[in-house]
Amino acid sequence: MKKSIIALAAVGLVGSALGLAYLLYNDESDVKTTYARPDAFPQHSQPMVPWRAPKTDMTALFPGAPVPDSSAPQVIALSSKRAELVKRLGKETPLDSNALYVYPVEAHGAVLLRRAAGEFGAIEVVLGVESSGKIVGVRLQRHREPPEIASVLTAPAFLASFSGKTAQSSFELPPTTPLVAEKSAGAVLRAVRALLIEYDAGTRT
Amino acid sequence: MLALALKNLTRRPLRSLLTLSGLAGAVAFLSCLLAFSESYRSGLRRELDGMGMQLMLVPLGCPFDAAAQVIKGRALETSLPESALALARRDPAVALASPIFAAALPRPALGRTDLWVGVDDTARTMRAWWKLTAGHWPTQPDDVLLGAEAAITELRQPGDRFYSPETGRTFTVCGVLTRSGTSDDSQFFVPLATAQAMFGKPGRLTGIALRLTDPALLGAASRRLQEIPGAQVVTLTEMIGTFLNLMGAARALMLGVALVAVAIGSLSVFNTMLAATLERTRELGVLRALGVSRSGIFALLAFEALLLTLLGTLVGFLLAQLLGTGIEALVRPFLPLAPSSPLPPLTVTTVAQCLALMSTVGLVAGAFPAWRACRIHPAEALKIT
Repeated sequence: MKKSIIALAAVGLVGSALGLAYLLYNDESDVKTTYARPDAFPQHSQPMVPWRAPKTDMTALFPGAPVPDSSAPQVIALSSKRAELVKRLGKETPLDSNALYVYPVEAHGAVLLRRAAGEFGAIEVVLGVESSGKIVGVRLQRHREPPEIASVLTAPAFLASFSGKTAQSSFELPPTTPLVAEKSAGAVLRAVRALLIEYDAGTRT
Repeated sequence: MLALALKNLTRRPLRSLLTLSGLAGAVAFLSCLLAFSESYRSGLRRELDGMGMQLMLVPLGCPFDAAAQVIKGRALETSLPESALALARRDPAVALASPIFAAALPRPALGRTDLWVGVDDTARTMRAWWKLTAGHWPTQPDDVLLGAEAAITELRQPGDRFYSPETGRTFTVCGVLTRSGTSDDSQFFVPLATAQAMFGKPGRLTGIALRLTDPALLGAASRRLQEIPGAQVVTLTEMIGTFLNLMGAARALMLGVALVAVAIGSLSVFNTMLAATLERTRELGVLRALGVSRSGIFALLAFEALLLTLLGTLVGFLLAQLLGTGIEALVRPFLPLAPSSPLPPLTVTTVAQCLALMSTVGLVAGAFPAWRACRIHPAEALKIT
Protein backbone atom coordinates (compact mmCIF):
# COMPACT_ATOMS: atom_id res chain seq x y z
CA MET A 1 0.00 0.00 0.00
CA LYS A 2 2.68 2.47 1.08
CA LYS A 3 4.89 1.49 -1.84
CA SER A 4 1.96 2.14 -4.16
CA ILE A 5 1.42 5.60 -2.69
CA ILE A 6 5.13 6.38 -3.01
CA ALA A 7 5.13 5.14 -6.61
CA LEU A 8 1.99 7.18 -7.33
CA ALA A 9 3.53 10.29 -5.81
CA ALA A 10 6.73 9.76 -7.80
CA VAL A 11 4.77 9.32 -11.04
CA GLY A 12 2.71 12.40 -10.20
CA LEU A 13 5.86 14.39 -9.52
CA VAL A 14 7.46 13.39 -12.80
CA GLY A 15 4.19 14.03 -14.64
CA SER A 16 3.85 17.47 -13.07
CA ALA A 17 7.40 18.37 -13.99
CA LEU A 18 6.90 17.20 -17.58
CA GLY A 19 3.56 18.97 -17.86
CA LEU A 20 5.03 22.15 -16.47
CA ALA A 21 7.98 21.98 -18.81
CA TYR A 22 5.59 21.54 -21.76
CA LEU A 23 3.42 24.47 -20.68
CA LEU A 24 6.42 26.73 -20.24
CA TYR A 25 7.91 25.64 -23.55
CA ASN A 26 4.61 26.27 -25.27
CA ASP A 27 4.26 29.69 -23.73
CA GLU A 28 4.35 33.19 -25.28
CA SER A 29 6.49 33.57 -28.36
CA ASP A 30 6.12 30.00 -29.49
CA VAL A 31 2.40 30.43 -30.04
CA LYS A 32 1.73 30.30 -33.74
CA THR A 33 -1.12 32.38 -35.09
CA THR A 34 -2.29 32.49 -38.64
CA TYR A 35 -4.43 35.59 -38.43
CA ALA A 36 -1.72 38.00 -37.27
CA ARG A 37 0.67 37.42 -40.15
CA PRO A 38 1.39 40.68 -41.97
CA ASP A 39 0.67 38.93 -45.28
CA ALA A 40 -2.70 37.62 -44.06
CA PHE A 41 -4.27 40.83 -45.32
CA PRO A 42 -3.88 41.39 -49.04
CA GLN A 43 -2.17 44.71 -49.62
CA HIS A 44 -3.26 45.26 -53.20
CA SER A 45 -6.90 44.23 -53.31
CA GLN A 46 -9.41 46.92 -54.20
CA PRO A 47 -11.20 48.31 -51.16
CA MET A 48 -14.48 50.13 -51.66
CA VAL A 49 -13.93 53.56 -53.16
CA PRO A 50 -15.74 56.29 -51.23
CA TRP A 51 -18.05 58.48 -53.27
CA ARG A 52 -16.63 61.86 -52.38
CA ALA A 53 -18.96 64.37 -54.07
CA PRO A 54 -22.31 62.69 -54.77
CA LYS A 55 -24.30 65.89 -55.25
CA THR A 56 -21.91 67.38 -57.81
CA ASP A 57 -21.60 64.10 -59.67
CA MET A 58 -25.36 63.54 -59.73
CA THR A 59 -25.95 67.04 -61.07
CA ALA A 60 -23.55 66.29 -63.90
CA LEU A 61 -24.59 62.69 -64.60
CA PHE A 62 -28.30 62.49 -63.74
CA PRO A 63 -29.61 66.06 -63.37
CA GLY A 64 -32.83 66.21 -61.34
CA ALA A 65 -32.57 62.60 -60.15
CA PRO A 66 -32.61 61.83 -56.41
CA VAL A 67 -29.15 61.54 -54.88
CA PRO A 68 -28.50 57.97 -53.65
CA ASP A 69 -27.23 57.40 -50.14
CA SER A 70 -23.47 57.51 -50.69
CA SER A 71 -22.81 55.62 -47.48
CA ALA A 72 -24.89 52.57 -48.38
CA PRO A 73 -24.06 51.16 -51.79
CA GLN A 74 -25.76 48.04 -53.08
CA VAL A 75 -23.35 45.14 -53.30
CA ILE A 76 -23.55 42.86 -56.32
CA ALA A 77 -21.80 39.53 -55.83
CA LEU A 78 -19.77 38.56 -58.87
CA SER A 79 -18.50 35.24 -57.60
CA SER A 80 -20.87 33.17 -59.73
CA LYS A 81 -19.81 35.11 -62.84
CA ARG A 82 -16.10 34.95 -62.16
CA ALA A 83 -15.15 32.67 -65.04
CA GLU A 84 -17.15 34.74 -67.52
CA LEU A 85 -15.73 38.00 -66.19
CA VAL A 86 -12.12 36.84 -66.29
CA LYS A 87 -12.64 35.90 -69.93
CA ARG A 88 -14.39 39.15 -70.87
CA LEU A 89 -12.04 41.44 -69.00
CA GLY A 90 -8.92 39.86 -70.45
CA LYS A 91 -5.39 39.69 -69.11
CA GLU A 92 -4.87 43.44 -68.77
CA THR A 93 -7.72 43.92 -66.31
CA PRO A 94 -7.59 41.36 -63.52
CA LEU A 95 -10.76 40.84 -61.50
CA ASP A 96 -9.49 41.62 -58.03
CA SER A 97 -12.79 41.65 -56.16
CA ASN A 98 -15.91 39.54 -56.14
CA ALA A 99 -18.04 42.49 -55.05
CA LEU A 100 -19.26 45.37 -57.18
CA TYR A 101 -20.50 48.42 -55.29
CA VAL A 102 -23.41 50.10 -57.04
CA TYR A 103 -25.35 53.26 -56.18
CA PRO A 104 -28.73 52.73 -57.86
CA VAL A 105 -30.41 55.90 -59.18
CA GLU A 106 -34.12 55.33 -59.15
CA ALA A 107 -35.65 55.12 -62.64
CA HIS A 108 -32.42 56.29 -64.24
CA GLY A 109 -29.62 53.78 -63.81
CA ALA A 110 -26.70 53.63 -61.45
CA VAL A 111 -23.44 55.21 -60.38
CA LEU A 112 -20.29 53.09 -60.16
CA LEU A 113 -16.85 53.93 -58.83
CA ARG A 114 -13.42 52.47 -59.42
CA ARG A 115 -9.89 53.34 -58.43
CA ALA A 116 -7.31 52.99 -61.20
CA ALA A 117 -3.53 53.09 -60.98
CA GLY A 118 -2.45 56.17 -62.90
CA GLU A 119 1.13 57.03 -63.78
CA PHE A 120 1.65 59.16 -60.65
CA GLY A 121 -1.00 57.96 -58.23
CA ALA A 122 -4.52 56.65 -57.95
CA ILE A 123 -7.27 57.98 -60.21
CA GLU A 124 -10.81 57.61 -58.93
CA VAL A 125 -13.39 57.25 -61.68
CA VAL A 126 -17.12 57.93 -61.26
CA LEU A 127 -19.27 56.33 -63.92
CA GLY A 128 -22.94 57.02 -64.62
CA VAL A 129 -24.75 54.16 -66.35
CA GLU A 130 -28.29 54.12 -67.73
CA SER A 131 -30.62 51.26 -66.89
CA SER A 132 -29.93 49.92 -70.39
CA GLY A 133 -26.23 49.69 -69.59
CA LYS A 134 -25.18 52.67 -71.69
CA ILE A 135 -22.67 55.17 -70.25
CA VAL A 136 -24.22 58.51 -69.34
CA GLY A 137 -21.00 60.16 -68.33
CA VAL A 138 -17.58 59.72 -66.75
CA ARG A 139 -16.03 61.95 -64.10
CA LEU A 140 -12.75 61.88 -62.21
CA GLN A 141 -13.29 62.54 -58.52
CA ARG A 142 -9.62 62.36 -57.54
CA HIS A 143 -6.25 62.07 -59.20
CA ARG A 144 -2.63 62.93 -58.55
CA GLU A 145 -1.37 63.48 -62.08
CA PRO A 146 0.88 66.40 -63.07
CA PRO A 147 -0.73 69.20 -65.10
CA GLU A 148 0.32 67.89 -68.54
CA ILE A 149 -1.47 64.60 -67.91
CA ALA A 150 -4.30 66.02 -65.81
CA SER A 151 -5.24 68.35 -68.64
CA VAL A 152 -5.70 65.36 -70.95
CA LEU A 153 -7.65 63.28 -68.45
CA THR A 154 -10.02 66.03 -67.42
CA ALA A 155 -10.53 67.34 -70.95
CA PRO A 156 -14.25 67.21 -71.85
CA ALA A 157 -13.36 65.56 -75.16
CA PHE A 158 -11.63 62.64 -73.43
CA LEU A 159 -14.37 62.10 -70.86
CA ALA A 160 -17.11 62.52 -73.45
CA SER A 161 -15.53 59.85 -75.63
CA PHE A 162 -16.96 57.24 -73.24
CA SER A 163 -20.56 58.45 -73.45
CA GLY A 164 -22.95 56.03 -75.10
CA LYS A 165 -20.61 53.06 -74.83
CA THR A 166 -21.91 49.74 -73.52
CA ALA A 167 -20.23 46.60 -72.19
CA GLN A 168 -20.16 45.26 -75.75
CA SER A 169 -18.46 48.35 -77.22
CA SER A 170 -14.81 48.42 -78.17
CA PHE A 171 -12.66 50.67 -76.00
CA GLU A 172 -9.66 52.45 -77.47
CA LEU A 173 -7.82 55.61 -76.55
CA PRO A 174 -8.50 58.57 -78.80
CA PRO A 175 -5.68 58.78 -81.40
CA THR A 176 -4.95 62.32 -80.26
CA THR A 177 -3.96 61.16 -76.75
CA PRO A 178 -0.43 62.47 -76.04
CA LEU A 179 2.20 59.86 -75.33
CA VAL A 180 2.86 61.28 -71.86
CA ALA A 181 -0.76 60.65 -70.84
CA GLU A 182 -1.20 57.24 -72.42
CA LYS A 183 -0.60 55.20 -69.29
CA SER A 184 -2.99 57.17 -67.09
CA ALA A 185 -5.61 57.54 -69.80
CA GLY A 186 -5.34 53.81 -70.46
CA ALA A 187 -5.90 53.14 -66.75
CA VAL A 188 -9.07 55.25 -66.82
CA LEU A 189 -10.24 53.48 -69.96
CA ARG A 190 -9.69 50.03 -68.50
CA ALA A 191 -11.44 51.02 -65.26
CA VAL A 192 -14.50 52.26 -67.17
CA ARG A 193 -14.60 49.14 -69.36
CA ALA A 194 -14.21 46.83 -66.35
CA LEU A 195 -17.00 48.59 -64.47
CA LEU A 196 -19.34 48.31 -67.45
CA ILE A 197 -18.60 44.63 -68.00
CA GLU A 198 -18.92 43.80 -64.29
CA TYR A 199 -22.18 45.77 -64.05
CA ASP A 200 -23.50 44.04 -67.15
CA ALA A 201 -22.63 40.58 -65.84
CA GLY A 202 -23.84 41.34 -62.33
CA THR A 203 -27.24 42.76 -63.31
CA ARG A 204 -28.05 40.44 -66.20
CA THR A 205 -30.87 38.07 -65.24
CA MET B 1 16.64 9.51 2.62
CA LEU B 2 14.05 10.30 -0.06
CA ALA B 3 12.25 7.00 0.53
CA LEU B 4 12.27 7.56 4.30
CA ALA B 5 11.02 11.13 3.95
CA LEU B 6 8.24 10.05 1.57
CA LYS B 7 7.29 7.24 3.92
CA ASN B 8 7.01 9.66 6.82
CA LEU B 9 4.94 12.10 4.78
CA THR B 10 2.53 9.38 3.72
CA ARG B 11 2.15 8.14 7.29
CA ARG B 12 -0.53 10.79 7.86
CA PRO B 13 -1.81 11.18 4.31
CA LEU B 14 -4.72 13.46 5.16
CA ARG B 15 -2.57 15.89 7.15
CA SER B 16 0.12 15.92 4.47
CA LEU B 17 -2.51 16.39 1.79
CA LEU B 18 -4.08 19.32 3.64
CA THR B 19 -0.69 20.98 4.15
CA LEU B 20 0.16 20.34 0.54
CA SER B 21 -3.17 21.84 -0.58
CA GLY B 22 -2.56 24.94 1.51
CA LEU B 23 0.91 25.30 0.10
CA ALA B 24 -0.32 24.68 -3.44
CA GLY B 25 -3.00 27.34 -3.08
CA ALA B 26 -0.50 29.83 -1.69
CA VAL B 27 2.02 29.06 -4.45
CA ALA B 28 -0.64 29.28 -7.15
CA PHE B 29 -1.68 32.69 -5.89
CA LEU B 30 1.89 33.82 -5.36
CA SER B 31 3.10 32.65 -8.76
CA CYS B 32 0.11 34.21 -10.51
CA LEU B 33 0.68 37.51 -8.77
CA LEU B 34 4.39 37.46 -9.51
CA ALA B 35 3.78 36.54 -13.13
CA PHE B 36 1.13 39.22 -13.44
CA SER B 37 3.44 41.76 -11.90
CA GLU B 38 6.27 40.76 -14.19
CA SER B 39 4.25 40.63 -17.39
CA TYR B 40 2.38 43.78 -16.38
CA ARG B 41 5.64 45.65 -15.99
CA SER B 42 7.11 44.28 -19.21
CA GLY B 43 3.82 44.71 -21.06
CA LEU B 44 3.52 48.32 -19.98
CA ARG B 45 7.13 48.97 -20.90
CA ARG B 46 6.60 47.26 -24.25
CA GLU B 47 3.55 49.39 -24.95
CA LEU B 48 5.43 52.53 -23.98
CA ASP B 49 8.40 51.43 -26.07
CA GLY B 50 5.98 50.66 -28.86
CA MET B 51 5.09 54.32 -28.93
CA GLY B 52 8.71 54.80 -29.91
CA MET B 53 9.25 57.96 -27.95
CA GLN B 54 8.91 59.09 -24.39
CA LEU B 55 9.24 62.82 -24.97
CA MET B 56 8.48 65.16 -27.80
CA LEU B 57 10.23 68.46 -28.24
CA VAL B 58 8.04 70.92 -30.11
CA PRO B 59 8.08 74.64 -30.85
CA LEU B 60 6.80 76.99 -28.17
CA GLY B 61 3.04 77.40 -28.10
CA CYS B 62 0.04 75.92 -26.38
CA PRO B 63 1.34 72.62 -25.01
CA PHE B 64 -2.08 71.00 -24.93
CA ASP B 65 -2.78 71.89 -28.53
CA ALA B 66 0.68 70.72 -29.53
CA ALA B 67 0.22 67.46 -27.65
CA ALA B 68 -3.15 66.88 -29.30
CA GLN B 69 -1.66 67.52 -32.73
CA VAL B 70 1.29 65.21 -32.07
CA ILE B 71 -0.91 62.40 -30.75
CA LYS B 72 -3.22 62.69 -33.75
CA GLY B 73 -0.22 62.58 -36.09
CA ARG B 74 -0.90 66.06 -37.44
CA ALA B 75 1.57 68.72 -38.40
CA LEU B 76 2.39 71.68 -36.18
CA GLU B 77 2.12 75.21 -37.48
CA THR B 78 5.39 76.48 -36.04
CA SER B 79 8.88 75.08 -36.25
CA LEU B 80 12.11 74.58 -34.32
CA PRO B 81 15.63 75.36 -35.49
CA GLU B 82 17.70 72.28 -36.29
CA SER B 83 20.18 73.41 -33.63
CA ALA B 84 17.65 72.17 -31.06
CA LEU B 85 18.36 68.65 -32.30
CA ALA B 86 22.05 68.93 -31.47
CA LEU B 87 21.22 70.32 -28.02
CA ALA B 88 18.74 67.54 -27.35
CA ARG B 89 21.24 64.88 -28.43
CA ARG B 90 23.76 66.32 -25.98
CA ASP B 91 21.47 65.63 -23.02
CA PRO B 92 22.84 62.65 -21.05
CA ALA B 93 19.37 61.14 -20.55
CA VAL B 94 18.55 61.11 -24.26
CA ALA B 95 19.18 57.76 -25.90
CA LEU B 96 17.78 58.71 -29.29
CA ALA B 97 16.61 61.96 -30.82
CA SER B 98 14.74 61.72 -34.07
CA PRO B 99 13.98 64.92 -36.01
CA ILE B 100 10.62 65.30 -37.71
CA PHE B 101 9.37 67.77 -40.26
CA ALA B 102 5.67 67.19 -40.80
CA ALA B 103 3.46 69.20 -43.10
CA ALA B 104 -0.21 68.72 -43.76
CA LEU B 105 -1.69 69.43 -47.16
CA PRO B 106 -5.45 69.64 -46.78
CA ARG B 107 -7.43 68.63 -49.83
CA PRO B 108 -10.94 69.57 -48.70
CA ALA B 109 -12.47 68.87 -52.10
CA LEU B 110 -11.31 65.29 -51.81
CA GLY B 111 -12.21 64.93 -48.16
CA ARG B 112 -8.68 64.11 -47.06
CA THR B 113 -5.42 65.63 -45.88
CA ASP B 114 -2.07 64.44 -47.19
CA LEU B 115 0.48 64.34 -44.40
CA TRP B 116 4.06 64.49 -45.58
CA VAL B 117 6.60 63.57 -42.94
CA GLY B 118 10.31 64.21 -43.30
CA VAL B 119 12.47 61.89 -41.23
CA ASP B 120 16.06 60.69 -41.12
CA ASP B 121 17.51 57.23 -40.46
CA THR B 122 16.82 57.52 -36.71
CA ALA B 123 13.09 57.19 -37.44
CA ARG B 124 13.54 53.48 -38.12
CA THR B 125 15.11 52.95 -34.69
CA MET B 126 12.48 55.10 -33.02
CA ARG B 127 9.58 53.32 -34.70
CA ALA B 128 10.39 49.73 -33.84
CA TRP B 129 7.19 48.56 -35.55
CA TRP B 130 8.31 49.74 -38.99
CA LYS B 131 8.69 46.83 -41.38
CA LEU B 132 8.74 46.87 -45.15
CA THR B 133 6.28 44.76 -47.11
CA ALA B 134 8.31 45.48 -50.21
CA GLY B 135 11.07 47.72 -51.49
CA HIS B 136 13.82 49.43 -49.55
CA TRP B 137 14.30 52.31 -47.14
CA PRO B 138 14.70 55.81 -48.64
CA THR B 139 18.19 56.46 -49.95
CA GLN B 140 17.62 59.16 -52.58
CA PRO B 141 16.19 62.67 -52.08
CA ASP B 142 13.19 61.84 -54.27
CA ASP B 143 12.37 58.54 -52.55
CA VAL B 144 9.05 58.25 -50.74
CA LEU B 145 8.11 55.56 -48.25
CA LEU B 146 4.37 54.95 -48.04
CA GLY B 147 2.30 53.77 -45.11
CA ALA B 148 0.20 50.65 -45.78
CA GLU B 149 -3.07 52.52 -46.11
CA ALA B 150 -1.52 55.25 -48.26
CA ALA B 151 -0.13 52.63 -50.65
CA ILE B 152 -3.57 51.02 -51.01
CA THR B 153 -5.35 54.34 -51.48
CA GLU B 154 -2.83 55.51 -54.05
CA LEU B 155 -2.39 52.07 -55.68
CA ARG B 156 1.38 52.43 -55.46
CA GLN B 157 4.06 49.78 -55.31
CA PRO B 158 7.82 50.14 -55.02
CA GLY B 159 9.21 51.53 -58.25
CA ASP B 160 6.03 53.48 -59.10
CA ARG B 161 6.12 57.22 -59.47
CA PHE B 162 4.23 59.46 -57.09
CA TYR B 163 3.34 63.09 -57.64
CA SER B 164 2.56 65.81 -55.15
CA PRO B 165 0.27 68.24 -57.03
CA GLU B 166 0.52 70.91 -54.35
CA THR B 167 4.30 71.14 -54.32
CA GLY B 168 4.91 70.00 -57.89
CA ARG B 169 7.42 67.31 -56.92
CA THR B 170 7.67 63.83 -58.35
CA PHE B 171 8.85 60.94 -56.17
CA THR B 172 9.70 57.30 -56.63
CA VAL B 173 8.03 54.91 -54.23
CA CYS B 174 10.97 53.13 -52.60
CA GLY B 175 9.03 51.01 -50.14
CA VAL B 176 5.72 50.28 -48.47
CA LEU B 177 5.36 49.76 -44.72
CA THR B 178 3.34 46.97 -43.18
CA ARG B 179 0.11 47.94 -41.49
CA SER B 180 0.81 49.09 -37.93
CA GLY B 181 -2.52 50.46 -36.81
CA THR B 182 -0.89 53.82 -36.11
CA SER B 183 -1.18 57.14 -37.93
CA ASP B 184 1.91 56.05 -39.92
CA ASP B 185 -0.36 53.91 -42.09
CA SER B 186 -1.70 56.88 -43.98
CA GLN B 187 1.44 59.02 -44.16
CA PHE B 188 4.02 59.71 -46.85
CA PHE B 189 7.59 59.58 -45.49
CA VAL B 190 10.37 61.39 -47.31
CA PRO B 191 13.96 62.29 -46.36
CA LEU B 192 14.09 65.16 -43.87
CA ALA B 193 15.90 67.59 -46.18
CA THR B 194 13.41 66.85 -48.97
CA ALA B 195 10.44 67.65 -46.75
CA GLN B 196 12.11 70.86 -45.55
CA ALA B 197 12.76 71.90 -49.15
CA MET B 198 9.25 70.93 -50.30
CA PHE B 199 7.65 73.26 -47.83
CA GLY B 200 10.26 76.02 -47.94
CA LYS B 201 11.56 75.50 -44.41
CA PRO B 202 15.21 74.45 -44.74
CA GLY B 203 16.92 73.87 -41.40
CA ARG B 204 13.62 73.81 -39.53
CA LEU B 205 11.89 71.00 -37.65
CA THR B 206 8.32 70.62 -36.46
CA GLY B 207 9.34 68.31 -33.66
CA ILE B 208 11.98 66.06 -32.19
CA ALA B 209 10.95 62.67 -30.88
CA LEU B 210 13.08 61.66 -27.92
CA ARG B 211 13.74 58.30 -26.32
CA LEU B 212 15.40 58.26 -22.93
CA THR B 213 18.01 55.86 -21.67
CA ASP B 214 15.74 55.22 -18.68
CA PRO B 215 12.09 56.36 -18.29
CA ALA B 216 12.85 57.10 -14.65
CA LEU B 217 15.00 60.05 -15.81
CA LEU B 218 11.94 61.67 -17.35
CA GLY B 219 11.48 64.47 -14.83
CA ALA B 220 15.09 65.66 -14.82
CA ALA B 221 15.40 65.32 -18.60
CA SER B 222 12.19 67.29 -19.15
CA ARG B 223 13.47 70.13 -16.98
CA ARG B 224 16.78 70.29 -18.88
CA LEU B 225 15.18 70.01 -22.32
CA GLN B 226 12.71 72.72 -21.44
CA GLU B 227 15.71 75.09 -21.36
CA ILE B 228 16.36 74.69 -25.11
CA PRO B 229 15.52 78.07 -26.68
CA GLY B 230 12.19 78.13 -28.52
CA ALA B 231 11.33 74.58 -27.52
CA GLN B 232 8.97 72.97 -25.08
CA VAL B 233 8.43 69.43 -23.89
CA VAL B 234 4.87 68.32 -24.57
CA THR B 235 5.01 64.65 -24.29
CA LEU B 236 3.33 62.01 -22.47
CA THR B 237 5.24 63.17 -19.38
CA GLU B 238 2.28 63.15 -17.03
CA MET B 239 0.87 60.04 -18.56
CA ILE B 240 4.12 58.12 -18.17
CA GLY B 241 4.56 59.49 -14.65
CA THR B 242 1.10 58.22 -13.79
CA PHE B 243 1.93 54.87 -15.36
CA LEU B 244 5.06 54.55 -13.26
CA ASN B 245 3.28 55.55 -10.06
CA LEU B 246 0.48 53.10 -10.67
CA MET B 247 2.98 50.43 -11.55
CA GLY B 248 4.87 51.03 -8.30
CA ALA B 249 1.67 50.93 -6.24
CA ALA B 250 0.52 47.74 -7.91
CA ARG B 251 3.91 46.12 -7.28
CA ALA B 252 3.86 47.09 -3.61
CA LEU B 253 0.36 45.71 -3.21
CA MET B 254 1.32 42.48 -4.90
CA LEU B 255 4.42 42.13 -2.76
CA GLY B 256 2.28 42.50 0.35
CA VAL B 257 -0.16 39.83 -0.80
CA ALA B 258 2.74 37.58 -1.78
CA LEU B 259 4.26 37.95 1.71
CA VAL B 260 0.98 36.91 3.30
CA ALA B 261 0.84 33.87 1.02
CA VAL B 262 4.40 32.95 1.93
CA ALA B 263 3.70 33.36 5.65
CA ILE B 264 0.65 31.09 5.39
CA GLY B 265 2.68 28.47 3.56
CA SER B 266 5.52 28.73 6.05
CA LEU B 267 3.23 28.36 9.09
CA SER B 268 1.48 25.45 7.47
CA VAL B 269 4.75 23.54 6.97
CA PHE B 270 5.96 24.51 10.45
CA ASN B 271 2.78 23.19 12.02
CA THR B 272 2.86 19.90 10.13
CA MET B 273 6.52 19.25 10.83
CA LEU B 274 6.21 20.12 14.52
CA ALA B 275 3.25 17.77 14.88
CA ALA B 276 5.16 15.06 13.05
CA THR B 277 8.15 15.53 15.35
CA LEU B 278 6.03 15.27 18.49
CA GLU B 279 4.28 12.16 17.22
CA ARG B 280 7.53 10.48 16.28
CA THR B 281 9.53 11.31 19.42
CA ARG B 282 9.90 7.62 20.38
CA GLU B 283 10.82 6.62 16.85
CA LEU B 284 13.38 9.39 16.62
CA GLY B 285 14.75 8.26 19.98
CA VAL B 286 15.21 4.76 18.61
CA LEU B 287 17.06 6.17 15.62
CA ARG B 288 19.33 8.10 17.95
CA ALA B 289 19.84 4.98 20.08
CA LEU B 290 20.79 3.04 16.96
CA GLY B 291 23.56 5.52 16.30
CA VAL B 292 22.02 8.09 13.97
CA SER B 293 23.71 11.41 14.66
CA ARG B 294 21.94 14.63 15.64
CA SER B 295 22.81 16.12 12.26
CA GLY B 296 21.34 13.05 10.55
CA ILE B 297 18.02 13.55 12.39
CA PHE B 298 18.11 17.28 11.60
CA ALA B 299 18.78 16.56 7.92
CA LEU B 300 15.95 14.00 7.74
CA LEU B 301 13.35 16.39 9.20
CA ALA B 302 14.61 19.33 7.15
CA PHE B 303 14.49 17.22 4.00
CA GLU B 304 10.91 16.18 4.79
CA ALA B 305 9.93 19.84 5.15
CA LEU B 306 11.70 20.71 1.91
CA LEU B 307 10.08 17.83 0.05
CA LEU B 308 6.63 18.79 1.32
CA THR B 309 7.19 22.40 0.28
CA LEU B 310 8.51 21.51 -3.18
CA LEU B 311 5.64 19.08 -3.81
CA GLY B 312 3.19 21.80 -2.82
CA THR B 313 5.03 24.26 -5.06
CA LEU B 314 4.80 21.97 -8.07
CA VAL B 315 1.09 21.35 -7.49
CA GLY B 316 0.71 25.11 -7.07
CA PHE B 317 2.33 25.70 -10.47
CA LEU B 318 -0.13 23.29 -12.05
CA LEU B 319 -3.01 25.04 -10.33
CA ALA B 320 -1.73 28.41 -11.50
CA GLN B 321 -1.51 27.14 -15.04
CA LEU B 322 -4.98 25.63 -14.92
CA LEU B 323 -6.69 28.48 -13.10
CA GLY B 324 -4.53 31.29 -14.47
CA THR B 325 -7.20 32.60 -16.83
CA GLY B 326 -9.76 32.71 -14.06
CA ILE B 327 -7.34 34.39 -11.67
CA GLU B 328 -6.40 36.89 -14.39
CA ALA B 329 -10.08 37.75 -14.93
CA LEU B 330 -10.39 38.24 -11.18
CA VAL B 331 -7.23 40.35 -10.80
CA ARG B 332 -7.30 42.36 -14.05
CA PRO B 333 -10.01 44.82 -12.94
CA PHE B 334 -7.75 45.82 -10.05
CA LEU B 335 -4.67 46.32 -12.25
CA PRO B 336 -4.55 49.90 -13.40
CA LEU B 337 -3.96 50.30 -17.16
CA ALA B 338 -3.22 46.61 -17.60
CA PRO B 339 -1.72 45.81 -21.02
CA SER B 340 -4.19 44.62 -23.62
CA SER B 341 -2.27 41.40 -24.26
CA PRO B 342 -3.21 38.41 -22.09
CA LEU B 343 -1.11 38.10 -18.95
CA PRO B 344 0.65 34.73 -18.83
CA PRO B 345 0.12 33.09 -15.43
CA LEU B 346 3.58 31.50 -15.45
CA THR B 347 6.93 32.55 -16.77
CA VAL B 348 10.34 30.97 -16.38
CA THR B 349 11.44 33.81 -14.10
CA THR B 350 8.38 33.37 -11.90
CA VAL B 351 8.92 29.63 -11.62
CA ALA B 352 12.55 30.19 -10.66
CA GLN B 353 11.60 32.88 -8.14
CA CYS B 354 8.89 30.73 -6.57
CA LEU B 355 11.12 27.64 -6.37
CA ALA B 356 13.90 29.62 -4.71
CA LEU B 357 11.53 31.33 -2.29
CA MET B 358 9.60 28.20 -1.37
CA SER B 359 12.78 26.16 -0.86
CA THR B 360 13.94 28.76 1.64
CA VAL B 361 10.51 28.82 3.26
CA GLY B 362 10.50 25.01 3.53
CA LEU B 363 13.94 24.94 5.13
CA VAL B 364 13.15 27.81 7.54
CA ALA B 365 9.76 26.33 8.48
CA GLY B 366 11.30 22.90 9.04
CA ALA B 367 14.35 24.22 10.93
CA PHE B 368 12.73 24.50 14.37
CA PRO B 369 10.97 21.11 14.30
CA ALA B 370 14.18 19.53 12.98
CA TRP B 371 16.26 21.24 15.67
CA ARG B 372 13.79 20.06 18.30
CA ALA B 373 13.91 16.52 16.91
CA CYS B 374 17.68 16.39 16.96
CA ARG B 375 17.72 17.50 20.61
CA ILE B 376 15.71 14.42 21.67
CA HIS B 377 17.58 12.31 24.22
CA PRO B 378 17.31 8.61 23.28
CA ALA B 379 16.78 7.41 26.89
CA GLU B 380 13.96 9.87 27.55
CA ALA B 381 12.36 9.28 24.19
CA LEU B 382 12.29 5.53 24.74
CA LYS B 383 10.37 6.01 27.99
CA ILE B 384 7.43 7.40 26.02
CA THR B 385 4.80 4.74 25.41
